[in-house]
Amino acid sequence: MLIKSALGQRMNQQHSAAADVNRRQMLTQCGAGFGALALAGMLPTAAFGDDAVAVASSEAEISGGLNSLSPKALHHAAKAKSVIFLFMEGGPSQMDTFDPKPELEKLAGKPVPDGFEKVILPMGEFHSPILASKRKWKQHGEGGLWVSDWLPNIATHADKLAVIRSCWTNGINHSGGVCQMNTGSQFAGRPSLGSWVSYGLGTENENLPAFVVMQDNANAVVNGPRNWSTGFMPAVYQGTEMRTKGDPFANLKAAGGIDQRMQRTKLDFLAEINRMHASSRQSNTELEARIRSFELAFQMQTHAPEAVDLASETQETRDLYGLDDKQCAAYGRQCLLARRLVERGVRFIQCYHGSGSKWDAHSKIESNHSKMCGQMDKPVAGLLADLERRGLLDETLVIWGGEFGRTPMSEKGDGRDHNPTGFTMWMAGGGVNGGQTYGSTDEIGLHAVEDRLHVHDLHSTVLHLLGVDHRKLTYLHNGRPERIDENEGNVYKKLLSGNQGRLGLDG
Amino acid sequence: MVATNRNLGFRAWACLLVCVWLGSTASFGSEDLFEIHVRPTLIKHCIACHGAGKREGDLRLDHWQGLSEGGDSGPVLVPGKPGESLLVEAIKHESLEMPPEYQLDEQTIAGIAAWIKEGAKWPEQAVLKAAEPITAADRQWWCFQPMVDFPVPEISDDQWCQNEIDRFILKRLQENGIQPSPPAGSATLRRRLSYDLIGMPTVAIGDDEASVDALIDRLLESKAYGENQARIWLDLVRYADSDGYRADFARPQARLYRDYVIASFNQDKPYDRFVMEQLAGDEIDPGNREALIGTMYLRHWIYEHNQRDVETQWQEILSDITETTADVFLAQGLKCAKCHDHKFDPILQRDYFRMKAFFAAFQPREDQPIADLETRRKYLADDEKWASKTESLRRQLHAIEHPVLLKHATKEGFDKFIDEIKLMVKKLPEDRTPYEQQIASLAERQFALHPEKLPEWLDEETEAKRQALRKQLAEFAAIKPKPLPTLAFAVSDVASEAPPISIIDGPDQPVEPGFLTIFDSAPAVVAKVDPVLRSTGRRTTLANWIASADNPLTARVIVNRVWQQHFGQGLVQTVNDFGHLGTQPSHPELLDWLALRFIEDGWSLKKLHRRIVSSATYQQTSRRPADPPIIAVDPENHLLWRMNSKRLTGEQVVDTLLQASGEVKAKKRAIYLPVRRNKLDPMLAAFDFPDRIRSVGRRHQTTTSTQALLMKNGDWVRQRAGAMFNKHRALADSDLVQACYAKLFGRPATSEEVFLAGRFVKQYQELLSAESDDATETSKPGTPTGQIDDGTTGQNAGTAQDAAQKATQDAGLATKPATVVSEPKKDTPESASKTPVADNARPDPKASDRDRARTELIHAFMNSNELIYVD
Repeated sequence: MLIKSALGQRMNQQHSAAADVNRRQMLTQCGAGFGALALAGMLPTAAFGDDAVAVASSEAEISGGLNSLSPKALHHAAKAKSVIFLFMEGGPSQMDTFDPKPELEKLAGKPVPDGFEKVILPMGEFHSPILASKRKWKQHGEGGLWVSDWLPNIATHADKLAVIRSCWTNGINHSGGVCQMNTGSQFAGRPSLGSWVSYGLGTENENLPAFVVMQDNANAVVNGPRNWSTGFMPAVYQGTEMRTKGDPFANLKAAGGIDQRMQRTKLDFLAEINRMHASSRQSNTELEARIRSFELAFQMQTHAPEAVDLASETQETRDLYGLDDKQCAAYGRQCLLARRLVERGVRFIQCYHGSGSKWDAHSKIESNHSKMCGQMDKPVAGLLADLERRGLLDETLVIWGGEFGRTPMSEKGDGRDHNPTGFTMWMAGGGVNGGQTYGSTDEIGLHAVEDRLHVHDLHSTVLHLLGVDHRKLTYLHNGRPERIDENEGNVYKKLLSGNQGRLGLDG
Repeated sequence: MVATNRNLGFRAWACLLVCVWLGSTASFGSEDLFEIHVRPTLIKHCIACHGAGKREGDLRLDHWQGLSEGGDSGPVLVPGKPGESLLVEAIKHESLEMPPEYQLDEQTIAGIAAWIKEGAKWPEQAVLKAAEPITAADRQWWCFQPMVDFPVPEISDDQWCQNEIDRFILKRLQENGIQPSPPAGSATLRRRLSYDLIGMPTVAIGDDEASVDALIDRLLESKAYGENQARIWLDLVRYADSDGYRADFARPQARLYRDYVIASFNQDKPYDRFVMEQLAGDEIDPGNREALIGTMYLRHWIYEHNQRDVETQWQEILSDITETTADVFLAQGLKCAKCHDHKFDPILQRDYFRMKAFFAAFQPREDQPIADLETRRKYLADDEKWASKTESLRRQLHAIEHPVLLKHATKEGFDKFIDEIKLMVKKLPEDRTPYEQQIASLAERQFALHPEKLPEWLDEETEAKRQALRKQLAEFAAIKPKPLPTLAFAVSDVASEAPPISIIDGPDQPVEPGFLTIFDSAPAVVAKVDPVLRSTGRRTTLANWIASADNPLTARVIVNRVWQQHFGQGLVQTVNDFGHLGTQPSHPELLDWLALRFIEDGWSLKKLHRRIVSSATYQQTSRRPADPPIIAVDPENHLLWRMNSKRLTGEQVVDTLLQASGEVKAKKRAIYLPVRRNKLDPMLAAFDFPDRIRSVGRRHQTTTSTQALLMKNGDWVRQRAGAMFNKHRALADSDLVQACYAKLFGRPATSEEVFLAGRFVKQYQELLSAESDDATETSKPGTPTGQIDDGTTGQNAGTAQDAAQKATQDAGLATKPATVVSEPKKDTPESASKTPVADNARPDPKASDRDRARTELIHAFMNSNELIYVD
């Protein structure tokens, strides 16, 4: 080999001679390095141990053809195969849902007592009086998990929930917050968690995208498609927006009602002229990949509508998700579709609830959160029940939460400001220890204090559950081996079923 | 002490050999174990973060006191009990994971555990020191070496060579026993040159009377050259027409920069001048509007219009400019060094902040005067006179007006800032420190003041007082100088003194501007600029250093980018990273030779392009298969034994289709589409348009099924096929096929290709007729024939769709199909009926099956690989 980065050399040393020849042939055939490592997944040696992943990630070599989504080997045994991220956009209040704070009753109407670290808030409400929670609280399940009366259906699954009360993030605004919950950084330009998962694991079903995003209403999610983009990685890992009604994906049908036979005829003609073109250019395997992409697109046209066709679902299942209840039909549909996608091998599914910051209760939190909780409580509970009874919950990680939480201080008298310094998220299924809480916030729910879990830690933990080591999954960009956690995350080991570290965080 | 340690070390090494062989560390004493395992490990892996400089987790591991006291996570070791020592737990990655990025090898871990077990003896008073940050080996890294003017290799059998480049290439090929490839065919070469130089096809088929050299000249002189070249530069500087973040507000003035870049390339502005203008146009040529527009290079950072954490946003902006500048001009990835010395390259954390200090006085300006030094001198003198005479009046007015204005501020308002920011904003600008001015002015972007409403808000008495003061102030209007012409979205320094820059988590002392330590460890000697500019000269200093013939990076970096543009890969493949994680040059001598000729040629990019594309190396065929000997030596074609084929960029696809359909007009090329960061043009995005948030030196090239769906089903491409058909509808089938091959593939179709196309039209037509026979009850499905978007569906204002639609309407294209008799040789022009465009917004049910089939044929060609790939 002529020129090799340090990482490349390390990889090559591990190759057997025969494998090396194979790889060379591949590389030669693929036309001078274009698309070279897109083929890595096809090579017997590229088992995607740490070094191979690092090499595949070299910007100099990668092109990201279809094959970069081939299933890849894991760093360790996975607990989960897929992820469903239930994203409550706008920021739900922790002290009104999963993190009861009796102290708020006592302090209601008074300013934050001395001794709490000051924070910059977008609406400058730090000195505003404390707002008590009007919720009624009960313990649920064998674990005695506290859940408020806003979430009666989710509460019935208390023993499945690993409630993390000590999450924190950096972005104080929606844009930075949503960006960070997706990518790890409040500043744009980095790949989304779903992209890292697709990059690290590939897909098992090429007829559907590996990373699918849905939203419950027509309002754009803050930052738009940038949230599920790949940042500096190739577009092959990006999230695909799926509509919950009509054609599931953009451009799935040609305008003007062209039928199957016509399409087939045209594709055959296209394939024919493409093959003639390729016959004198055998060294360029990208040509073959592109021919294949049209075939896959054609297959997707038949598979995608089937995946979203709910006709085969029973009335009982529809009821479970609240599909016929006007209030929760929209999110119920998303949750049910999420289950169907998991069944079909989709790796990472993000379901936005309240897209367009609808959880953002700067005022009138009572009416806002009553409505928002009402829309999502039943569908989410239905999803957990349905996954469980189908034996899918063990291998599906369900994550619930927003980009941040809300302040104990009031805003405009009856609302709450953004709180990035302490908020609640929960996980269920896929290898987490449910039925209990992890970490804690201070007496008023302002700052996470015990087992503080940064978004980086959360992402590292998700990758860990999927069998990927967040320290080993790197992508070389502009001279820096990038990781999902910007080199700062740690796996939260307490959360893992059957795993008790002496310290919760591993770093 | 040192001597003793050395002795110990030596003895330890000797023992270690034995012990490794025995696979045990048990036989050592604690002191030996310290020297073998503990000292080198702590120095190499730990004390950078847990030492005298940084004390992460409040833990120091460079002296005994630190180890014995522990840090935030508690005590780190219990002598004699490795099992209870957090240190061991951490290096085993059992709870804490240290070092965070990787794990120490098992022997070292066992050695450290054994040292603790043996009592953890630390040599008395020993304090560990970090190794020299930049080693002799670091200094040998290729990109830091001065460029060398290597002689052009002498080659005996040089018939293949067309210029000096070829001799460098051929020499290496011969050394490896590989023959170069024959030249590409004329049509292939013309198509390749067109895409590489102007980004779209230009040569009509049969237009081969001119020589290749003449074609190269014509392409380089074409306006389209700058448009193509600008795309690459705009990726590098992450150009966009919007802020990013939630609101993604438009930046209406940014396009001035885009046009400046296009014009600069078309004028063949010397690259060193191009660099100087962008980094310091306001200091080197303050009266030159073009140079000031160049400084908009410093304005392309993402910006959040309502970020209350103003100081953090400001630091992010400065960091972004610093990192981007290092990426774009120097191919040095600085980002790692923001938090610690770079782990792979000889870039210190201090260097990051030395580089950042060049931008410390940076001030975004919406009112940058366009005035040369003399004009400014006069203006400032007059203005100072006016200011001093009116100072008392202005202060009184400020005291009355400003608090009320702030109270009633609109947009994001004023009261939500933290107290520190409020204090800065409340001051008169002349009372602010330079740093306060930077922060206050950034905060002031968030709100609007409404002085016209003051009479409503002030009580009568105060208003009367204010009016009196205003009247007095107005009396000085005569001596107030007339305002200078200004430019928005521009840049200056905040003052002639720069606010301090200090290292994150480091000592508080300010860092002076300086180049990378590996070049010069002393602070930079800052250029003197005329005091009338009220500027520090720091950016000029940096620009002078970058745009210098002696800088070993600058010319190599840009030459390598141009090489990548033509060959699909650079001589250094990692065009934005010349460091250790990148690749080394495949032809280091050629890279230097080209860089030095480039400088000799007055930093002329056009001459560089001409030199490269005139070479036999560039003009080789790309279609040579690799035989086994080549596979064994150079499978990735680093030696360039053939040309690499390249895929079109999204812009090139758009431009090609618009040109083929007759819709491309001035300013309608894809380069002129506004770049909205949160809503990229779907066609461009499908072909790996970057997010324009960080510098991108080489776009990805992905092939996805979503891309295929967009191409085969998306409206935009179908509309281009419809428009192209309309333009050529009068042609007979075989002529239509020839026209398509000429416009889309740049070559004539073979008779077999004409036959296949004809057969497809026939087949498709039959399917359509069969369908219309079936569909007696339902109306016939629409077709894309002549179908033009009526604009009501286009939500993406300013996308390719809009541009094309507009162009189509401008062209007044007839879109309704004619009744075509079967297989005419050529239809008369009159047979094409003209109808208003609006009538054709919907699929035309009356389109003949044959027209529909012929349109589908064009659409298939537009989807083909031959269009997307350039040989």
